[in-house]
Amino acid sequence: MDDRIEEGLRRALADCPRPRRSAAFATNVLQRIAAGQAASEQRLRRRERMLLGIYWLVAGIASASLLVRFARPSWIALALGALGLASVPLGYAAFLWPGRIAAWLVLWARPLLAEPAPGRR
Amino acid sequence: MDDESAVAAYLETRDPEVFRLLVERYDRRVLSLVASVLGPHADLDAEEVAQEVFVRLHEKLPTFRGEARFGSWLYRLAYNRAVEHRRRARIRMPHLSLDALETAVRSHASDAAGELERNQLVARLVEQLPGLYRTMIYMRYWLDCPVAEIAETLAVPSGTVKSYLSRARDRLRQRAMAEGIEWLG
Repeated sequence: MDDRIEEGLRRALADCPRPRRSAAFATNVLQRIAAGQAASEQRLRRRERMLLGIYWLVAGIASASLLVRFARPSWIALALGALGLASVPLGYAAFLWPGRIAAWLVLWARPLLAEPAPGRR
Repeated sequence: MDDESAVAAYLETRDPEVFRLLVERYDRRVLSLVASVLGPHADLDAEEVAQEVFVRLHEKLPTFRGEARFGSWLYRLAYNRAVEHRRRARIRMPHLSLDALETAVRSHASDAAGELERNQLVARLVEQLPGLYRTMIYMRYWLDCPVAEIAETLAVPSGTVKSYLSRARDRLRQRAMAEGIEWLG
């Protein structure tokens, strides 16, 4: 009786197409992994930038709220405002291109860090 | 290089060629398992799902502790993923095509029409079986996997596979009889 059922099952399923494994199966898997990794790195970078942006915004607002409570000459208020405004793009730039910012700082700090000329000692 | 060494080597070096070795070692069996869980009537491509299993394997590889054999661990992962996909898939049962009907009518080939009808019925009855029974039936009678291979893939003894297959056939027979169809009995 079992033979009859087995035969029936085999006959019934014989027409169903069997899954085929393509020759590029492993290559396709590796490509999908590489694509997934690139996408997740991009997501991570975007999240980090967003967090950094929020951090700078909060820091800027907190600093500004403290500074407005103190009496100060008008030029200091202007300078602080400019610094506050510059801090966000500078923060982004430092995060995105730390090497370039370091190089830029070194370039500008070179006169201060350089050995003084013998005649000027 | 055995599986566990390959996993350790991959985690250390992240060399894609080492991972390729694992994929090529297991792709046929994972594809068979995934196809058996999905069945021949699901509107999903078994190869797509099998590839996704390996992508998932890549993500989970650092959690492999070597407590079970790598193969069993991978098959468990593949089975679970395939079951998830099957839940979302639409099962399209085979139907008698117009061509087949016309041919049967024109040639008065009642045998051919009966055969098609029987196949349709078997497909429906198999699809109604519980998950593990159905998977074993498809592995054995659709993909012609030997009992030993089914046992290894599903991490059960060969005797258990035989007994599950026997119970699955019994259920099929009972359901066929309940529907007044005698050919299975």
